[in-house]
Amino acid sequence: MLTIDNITCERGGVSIFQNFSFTLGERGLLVLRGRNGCGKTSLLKIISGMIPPADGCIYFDGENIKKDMDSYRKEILYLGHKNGLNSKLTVQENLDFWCEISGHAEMMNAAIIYFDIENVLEMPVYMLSQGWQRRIALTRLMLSSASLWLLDEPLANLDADVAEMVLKLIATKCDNGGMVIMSSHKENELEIGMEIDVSVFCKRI
Amino acid sequence: MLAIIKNDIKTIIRSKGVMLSYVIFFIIIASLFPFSIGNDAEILKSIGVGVVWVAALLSSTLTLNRTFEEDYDNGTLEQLILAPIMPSLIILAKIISNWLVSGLPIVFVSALVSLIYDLPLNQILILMLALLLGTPVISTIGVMGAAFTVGLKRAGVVTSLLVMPLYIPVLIFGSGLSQSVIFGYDSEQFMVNMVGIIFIFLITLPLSVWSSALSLKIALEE
Repeated sequence: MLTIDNITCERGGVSIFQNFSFTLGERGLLVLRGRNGCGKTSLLKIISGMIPPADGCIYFDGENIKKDMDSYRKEILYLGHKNGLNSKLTVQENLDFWCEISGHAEMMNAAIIYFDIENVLEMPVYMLSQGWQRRIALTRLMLSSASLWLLDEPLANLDADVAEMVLKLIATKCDNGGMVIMSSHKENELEIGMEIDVSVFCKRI
Repeated sequence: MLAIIKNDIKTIIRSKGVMLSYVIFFIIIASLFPFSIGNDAEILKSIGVGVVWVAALLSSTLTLNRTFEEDYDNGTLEQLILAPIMPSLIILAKIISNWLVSGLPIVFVSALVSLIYDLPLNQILILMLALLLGTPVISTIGVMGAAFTVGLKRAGVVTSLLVMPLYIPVLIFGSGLSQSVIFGYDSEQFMVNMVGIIFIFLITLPLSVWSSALSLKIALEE
């Protein structure tokens, strides 16, 4: 269970949002909505532990995440706007790298088949389009055993069929007891989970 | 950690001659001096070691920007900081890969460059030993400088200005060790310089690892 308790976010001395709270249990999906600049990305980064909140606390399974960040990092997978892919390496090499860092190599074949990326495995990433690079980045979702996914605009640059693959994966993750927090400008096609408009808490002018 | 080292080395090798450019720059710098000061063998022999060390330091600064820049730009760095891997291991991996692609080649190429300065074989071997001990320190300090400036625009000059003063102690002990044979220093001088380099390494390594990890965290918070 993830509990966000009165989080306030400040960036560069400017207050982005204040007193943001929610609780997400197992099988929970939270979709963050809001206008550009309201703090969706900042909120995801705060939850990931990448940036500290100006105020408030985050609890994971009842424990303040600051007490044991090492354990918390094993439980989360964060995918931001950037894909985390080395453009000079091939797709396979990138996936192998992330497997060695924090993934499960035994899931590699299933992930490759699910995302239908067999044909591009030996291509260097710089030769792929933005959409394909996003697809490769999302393949990591299947290589990870993290219980909480933090996804910032995961469907950006994706074709409709690939977006559907991702949404099915998210639904399966929730069905299997995982938790997903994602920001999106698109309609919630899954029709499950809850939505929060971060703009409501946004204080930046 | 091994994955990061393998990744970095593959990236450099595929970067179309970048690795070669460090070595060529080193050779060019070291080769320029005889043109400017003439070909008096005794003078060249007396300055050769110092020139090789300065060339090693200058060429190492070419590698620094690449240490974190690409990973920062493509999002790999933020993923690594969030991964279940200690940030200190990330830094250690970067130091090792920096040394493997820049420091280690210079150790071997210094033998070639030493021929320009007519250094005898035993002195070349001592020079190579000194560089073998000193280049890891150069990489350690260099990676620290690169971490301090990650994310900055035009960080290249700033990084070089930051690390150059920090290189001075290793330059003093390294060239001192290299010259201990050339100028007939006794074994005590040899040991003092060797222990000096090792001591600097033992001080800078934990400092670099800790401060670099903190710097990366701060850079990613921006």
